[in-house]
Amino acid sequence: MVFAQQTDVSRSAALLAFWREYWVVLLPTALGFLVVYALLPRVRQSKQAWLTLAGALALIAAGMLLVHSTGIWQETLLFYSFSAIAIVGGVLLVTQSNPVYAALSFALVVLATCGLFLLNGAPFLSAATIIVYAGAIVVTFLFVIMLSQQSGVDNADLRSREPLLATIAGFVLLASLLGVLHRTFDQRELDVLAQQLDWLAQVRTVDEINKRYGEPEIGKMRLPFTEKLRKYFPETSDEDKNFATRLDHKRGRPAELREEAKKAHAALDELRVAYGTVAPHTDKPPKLKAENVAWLGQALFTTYLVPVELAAVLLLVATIGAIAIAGRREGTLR
Amino acid sequence: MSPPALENYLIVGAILFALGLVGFITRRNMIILFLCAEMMVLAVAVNLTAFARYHGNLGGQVLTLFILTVAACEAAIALVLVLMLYRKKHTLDVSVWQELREPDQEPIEDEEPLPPEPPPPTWPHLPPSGPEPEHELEETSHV
Repeated sequence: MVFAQQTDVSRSAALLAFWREYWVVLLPTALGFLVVYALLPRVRQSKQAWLTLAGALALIAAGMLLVHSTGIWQETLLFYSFSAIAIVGGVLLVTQSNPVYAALSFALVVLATCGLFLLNGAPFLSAATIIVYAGAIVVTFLFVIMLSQQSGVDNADLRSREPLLATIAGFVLLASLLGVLHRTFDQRELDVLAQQLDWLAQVRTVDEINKRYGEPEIGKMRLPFTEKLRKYFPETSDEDKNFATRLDHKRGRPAELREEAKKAHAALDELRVAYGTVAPHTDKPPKLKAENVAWLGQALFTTYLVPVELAAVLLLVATIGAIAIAGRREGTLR
Repeated sequence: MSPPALENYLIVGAILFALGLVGFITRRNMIILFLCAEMMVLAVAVNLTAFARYHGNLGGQVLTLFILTVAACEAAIALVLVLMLYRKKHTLDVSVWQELREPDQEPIEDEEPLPPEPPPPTWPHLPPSGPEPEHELEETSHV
């Protein structure tokens, strides 16, 4: 009740802050929503140039979400090509009204995904996926030609069921997934701050500080990065937690500044853990073993032997089930 | 500064998964539904291989292999089911199976009529092989 008067202001401020934090996620999601919703098959449909434009914008915006490296590596380039192909293929698969084209774009998605597998150091999986899904796609083509071409103009291809609601459901899911990923993994600012604090923790003289950050203006003793630090540690009544202000005040006294920087660094590390990383923060990430096939085979037949047997049983059961269902004729019970 | 990290693969996986979900909910052709489900499976596989690389551990790849097995089984069963359903109603539309809905639900009906079928293509007439038929005067030109 105390906050009753300020709800309007604080709500809009909170919304603004939310937008500023998550616009990277919300923008491509909204554009993608528009494109997919407008492209879904309908009886009367006008496909216009602005759809292509919006689709390209959505891809670029999603690319901005993905970009976090400067400089181009071969792997980066390949990654972007494969993911762009996969996403475009996915959109086409969902929106094509002709099932033959849909099956073709599914082939595109599979090939691009196999490229991503290769980039992830899984050549065996890449080959296996191509083999399995190539069979699946050929059979699907057979089915499309056998079943779908007989019926001609059909409800199944020219209509979508509740396109608006379905697209909203899918893209709300997508926005929340991307939001969580953004929140969990976007630690670039924290990294920069940690570097600055590291340097400050070893600084010896005021001259060094002035050399790095420039001479302080009169009456303005701020360090340039403390504004960002203030974002993560907002000013509170607890003086000990106001790291930004304390650092600013100690600018002229290196010894005390070093202590403050160490404290702030510790607090930042705590914050980083609270933000939720997936793996322990180590300098050297573990590497996958080379000779993928050999090690995969060893893992399959030692650690995962029982699941392999279970998978074999599953395949057998599926084969028998498929034959049993397909072989049943009308009126007979076997 | 660095090649694509774990989060980038997870983002691609999330996008593919959401697209597959939209398609699965809204499309009406059973074959396309099956393809959309397969695309969702692929998206999860991308996530798993990315995690396998991130942790330097083959567990994710082994799990992807099992997913591949299950996807193959699923494809077999799903296509057989599509075939059976097609035999009953002679259409691939899932909406003809609305009679399976809950008793208190209203059926969904399509209001807008379908566009007229395109006229059948006109094929050129080829003469049968063998001795040349005798021409009549009106039949001199074939288009």
